[in-house]
Amino acid sequence: MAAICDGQQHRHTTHPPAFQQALLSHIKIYDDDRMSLENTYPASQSYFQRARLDVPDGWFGDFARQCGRHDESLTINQRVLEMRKNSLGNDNIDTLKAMDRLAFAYTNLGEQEKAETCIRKAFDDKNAILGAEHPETLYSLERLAMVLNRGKKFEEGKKLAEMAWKRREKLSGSDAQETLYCLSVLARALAGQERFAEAENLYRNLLLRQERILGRYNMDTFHTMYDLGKVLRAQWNLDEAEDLLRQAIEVAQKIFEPNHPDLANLFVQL
Amino acid sequence: MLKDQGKLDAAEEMMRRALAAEEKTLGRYHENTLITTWTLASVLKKQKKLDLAEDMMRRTLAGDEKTLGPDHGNTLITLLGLAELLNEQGRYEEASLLYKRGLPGAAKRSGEDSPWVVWHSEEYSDLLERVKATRDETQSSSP
Repeated sequence: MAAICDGQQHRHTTHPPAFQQALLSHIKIYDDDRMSLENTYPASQSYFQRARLDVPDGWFGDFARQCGRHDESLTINQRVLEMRKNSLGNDNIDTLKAMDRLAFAYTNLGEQEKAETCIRKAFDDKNAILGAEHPETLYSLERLAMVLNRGKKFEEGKKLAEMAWKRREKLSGSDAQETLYCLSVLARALAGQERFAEAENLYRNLLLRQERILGRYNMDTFHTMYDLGKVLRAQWNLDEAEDLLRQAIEVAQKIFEPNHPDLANLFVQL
Repeated sequence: MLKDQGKLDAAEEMMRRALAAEEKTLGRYHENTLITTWTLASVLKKQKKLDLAEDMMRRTLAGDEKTLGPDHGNTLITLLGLAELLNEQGRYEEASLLYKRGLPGAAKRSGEDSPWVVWHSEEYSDLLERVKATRDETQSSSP
């Protein structure tokens, strides 16, 4: 089960909706069992720590987030962070990775301030320990820029997205998924500043590349489609806006089960 | 034509499903929910389901005004879209009120010479002329 969740994370593939549902309910049962075990035998906690159960837990947290189950993701990630702080220490990379994840859960639940504090700390610490050019540091920097956009701090969001993009392009090449992600964060900052024409150009370019590299039925491609639709609408290009928004929603429903109540969460997820 | 119709029907169904999910999870006044109601209204208009399109457009407008405020770009787009919809149905008085409300804000936001502002202004002055012509006709036919 953990391996499947991890696979989805790394290969950036998406499982069919029914499969996601089944997996989510298994995670729920596993979680409940663990909770009751910990409550009955508090000593089991240290066993879980030694067995590094935080590792599959981290994958489950990610999977829940990808499925739009942000509440569950928050609970799991809080637990993972606590476990890692206790067993690995505050400066450990795995602890800082858990802090990234916790920030995602907060921002997806609309807790902007907590999200910003978390992701900024993860970035600062990774920067100090690993250096500015390390992929892990860049990962947090990209997400920090996105969280700032979410909080409507577009100026700083734009500055950090540009910084992340330059470093990422040098590190991973211009067509890497992460490089494209940086550009989408930059485009969103531009749109937030109402620089719609610039944002539109960037989104169009991005959409072509993402469709080619990641395919149409992909979360990143979906976000670009949806955001391009919004930017076109803001510029009164209404026919094309409607067309793109419609396509984006179609893509979202293919990625996700149509009647799933969490479908809507896809639109606001990081 | 039939193919287009089929596509639009499928699109409507899909949008309605998305809307139901969004209303449940995000609520009626979330920015994303409002984007979906706007897109659905546009689809309904293309299907010539004008009553339903109007309902959906009004719902979007109420939401835009509440969530984004009366001067936001999205609110003005929805407002003028609704004016256009009413104008096309010959409901000139209602359309006229909306044009009067939306055009100054749109001109201020996008500039007097933005193509969309020009287009809507022309629609509005055509409307005023049509109303005037109808009035003259009624007056001359019943002296």
